[in-house]
Amino acid sequence: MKMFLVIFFASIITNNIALTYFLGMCPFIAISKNIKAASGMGLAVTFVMVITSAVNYIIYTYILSPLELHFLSFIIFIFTIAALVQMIEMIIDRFFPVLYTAFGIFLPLITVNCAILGISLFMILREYKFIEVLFYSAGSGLGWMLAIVAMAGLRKYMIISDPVDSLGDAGITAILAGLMTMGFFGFSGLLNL
Amino acid sequence: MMIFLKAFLVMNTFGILILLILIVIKRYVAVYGEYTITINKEKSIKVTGGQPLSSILFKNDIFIPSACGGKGTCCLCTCKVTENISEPLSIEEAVLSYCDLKQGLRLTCQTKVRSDMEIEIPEEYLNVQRFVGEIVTITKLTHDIKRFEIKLKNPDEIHFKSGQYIMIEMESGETRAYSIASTKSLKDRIKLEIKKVPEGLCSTYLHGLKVSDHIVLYGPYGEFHLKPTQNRVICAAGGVGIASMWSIIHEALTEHTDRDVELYYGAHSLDDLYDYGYFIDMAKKYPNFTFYPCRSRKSEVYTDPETGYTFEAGVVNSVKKNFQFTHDSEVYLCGPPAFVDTVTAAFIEKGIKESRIHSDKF
Repeated sequence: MKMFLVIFFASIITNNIALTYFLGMCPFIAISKNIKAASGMGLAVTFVMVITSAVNYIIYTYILSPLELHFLSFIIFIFTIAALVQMIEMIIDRFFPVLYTAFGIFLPLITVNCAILGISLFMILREYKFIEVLFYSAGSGLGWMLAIVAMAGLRKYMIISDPVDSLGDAGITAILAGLMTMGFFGFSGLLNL
Repeated sequence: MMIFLKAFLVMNTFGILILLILIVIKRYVAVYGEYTITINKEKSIKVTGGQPLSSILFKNDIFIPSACGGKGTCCLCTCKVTENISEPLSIEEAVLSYCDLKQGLRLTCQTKVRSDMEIEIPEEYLNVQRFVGEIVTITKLTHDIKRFEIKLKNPDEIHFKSGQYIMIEMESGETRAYSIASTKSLKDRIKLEIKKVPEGLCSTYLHGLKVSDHIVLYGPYGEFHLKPTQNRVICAAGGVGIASMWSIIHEALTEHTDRDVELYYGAHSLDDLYDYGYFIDMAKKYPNFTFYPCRSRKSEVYTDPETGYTFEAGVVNSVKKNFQFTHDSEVYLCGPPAFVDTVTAAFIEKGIKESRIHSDKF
């Protein structure tokens, strides 16, 4: 139990997928303009992360490992992520239309979020078991959401702070992300993963 | 060797399995019930839900216009939902204002049918028809503009107001809007003037067509048309914007007599100012028609030695120099967005009220 909680909190704070590994930067910079959009995106990413990593784990352990086809993991994971996002979109559209409207165009956008593939590949690398995978992916998703919502809150103030024009929107966001990462370094003594 | 075979088998089985699962889910999960859509409180249609409104209306012979092919950017397909208003999608929130959304305006190309709905669309859309036409002549007007004369086959007559537009449907199903560049007296045929836009879907498709090719179009659409008043008609056209002015000028001069007509027509150079000769002849034939040609992107005034016409440096300068304000002036503009904005500002400066300025931006 302790290990699960350590993994969960580590993936939010000390090994944050957005701030420590800098994965999923595209939507991180693009969607962090307002808090409502950012939280919607973050929830969608968490949801997809948990489901895809669970399915990918099952496929890796029961199909790819016994057949010694580890090298196929990359492309098979991409297949499952793309297919799962499609299925999730169809199911949510049919049964939870309000949720579908809330996610909007974010759901299909998630297929190309490299953080999703990153989680699947990392769990293989670290040789997690199934329950650990669930905690890890949920933690990573929530950690990504924390980073993007915090960024959205900060970017709200960019309008009044008026940074240097030549940086543009993306430039100042990248600098902010770096500063946030340095802030998160302060947590490094907290957990030992 | 074995490993490659195994990998090949696994990947293909995987791919096929995923395809099958997706097809099954699409068939059994993405199933929506039958709903009724009431249009303008008079027409009711029974539809299967799950599809965007615009494709459902299209299938029921109600042709909603679209300039962006259903991507949710042009806002031409807006309708007003009066019953069962759903939450707006983020795409709709991006292009429609808060007040519009509050009133129930939604994009038919984005809103999906999930329940019984009551909607309101402009009356004229119910009169829009689908035409199949045959190209009879293609004339090259400038290096990138062609004029197409299309004879309508089925139905064989079109009734439109001068200045309205039609939508061309390409083989892919995507549509683009073009102004009708012929007079409304020619009921069995229409002319279109198309500029080839680099990377443009429809203009490339059209420029690739030949005489006797068939073409599908929908129409007529548009709030931009000649108003049947006795006001002075001031037309300003930028480049291929002259296409919609044809019918307006012709109707004003031939059918509504005693209406003064002025045309400010600007293009990049003399070669791009096609039909220049035609308008000079019109000016000679109709004393109440005045023609002011202009050259944009040139800062000097140029006088054509053959015709004696002076070309101002840009339509805005021509308007500033030549236009005399009268209380019964009505302005019709057509051209690229920047052109329409600057010329509108020039006319407002001269005293024309915004309500008297009608424009058609590309």
